[in-house]
Amino acid sequence: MQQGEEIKQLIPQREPIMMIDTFYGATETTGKSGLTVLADNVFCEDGQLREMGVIEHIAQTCAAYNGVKNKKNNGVESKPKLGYIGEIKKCQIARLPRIGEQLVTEVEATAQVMNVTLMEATTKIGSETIASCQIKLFEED
Amino acid sequence: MLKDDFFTITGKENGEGQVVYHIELNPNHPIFRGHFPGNPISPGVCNIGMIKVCAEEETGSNLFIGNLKQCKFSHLVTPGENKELDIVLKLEDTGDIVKIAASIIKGDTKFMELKAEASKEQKA
Repeated sequence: MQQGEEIKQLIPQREPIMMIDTFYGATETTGKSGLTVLADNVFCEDGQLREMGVIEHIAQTCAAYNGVKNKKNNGVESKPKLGYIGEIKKCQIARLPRIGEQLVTEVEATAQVMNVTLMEATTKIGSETIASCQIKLFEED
Repeated sequence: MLKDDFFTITGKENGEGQVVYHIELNPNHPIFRGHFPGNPISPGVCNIGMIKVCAEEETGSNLFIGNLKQCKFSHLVTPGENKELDIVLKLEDTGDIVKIAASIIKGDTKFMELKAEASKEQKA
């Protein structure tokens, strides 16, 4: 499990737009991360993490999965590659997380071709699913 | 949260079945420091957020995007070269639900397009 500053070894995003605070681990095709919503989160408004924060949290979970994979392939010293969202599909958000709640997101890579990864994501608070989507991520070489 | 901070609306044009918002990014916003250090690029979610703000302006309601059907990003939005952008909105307001079809463009370049359904939020 990686937390706090260690997350910076996995993803290229930096404050104030880091939307994962814990990475629980990855398998060949899956990754799992967490985010506790703090009041000073850049995407918080009126005590809630807005849609943008939820989606960015999902995208960074995908980025962290890629980050682990890159370290496996290119060595532990390799820096996180820049990555961008290419496409988001079927993104359903049931409700917005509130300050103090912890989001836990699991992503599964369903296809990977060259520098493009197609992933499916589910975000939960406790046992309640609050968001799901398909996301296509591009990574720079 | 993004409005008048991450970006500002500088004008608006009503067209046939659509409305175009002219916007300008704020290259000094802290988000650009983290996304990414030394290489400022507007996060895809902020592009979605700017579309949402314009849809809120147009409908006069706070919106919650619970169903983002599809969103394609074709060009990176960089606050250096692409500070001024146009958001093209086609809205269908059905009462509780607002159907949004939108794109972010500048001239012939399309940066992204989006289809979503948003619900109107009760104002606190």
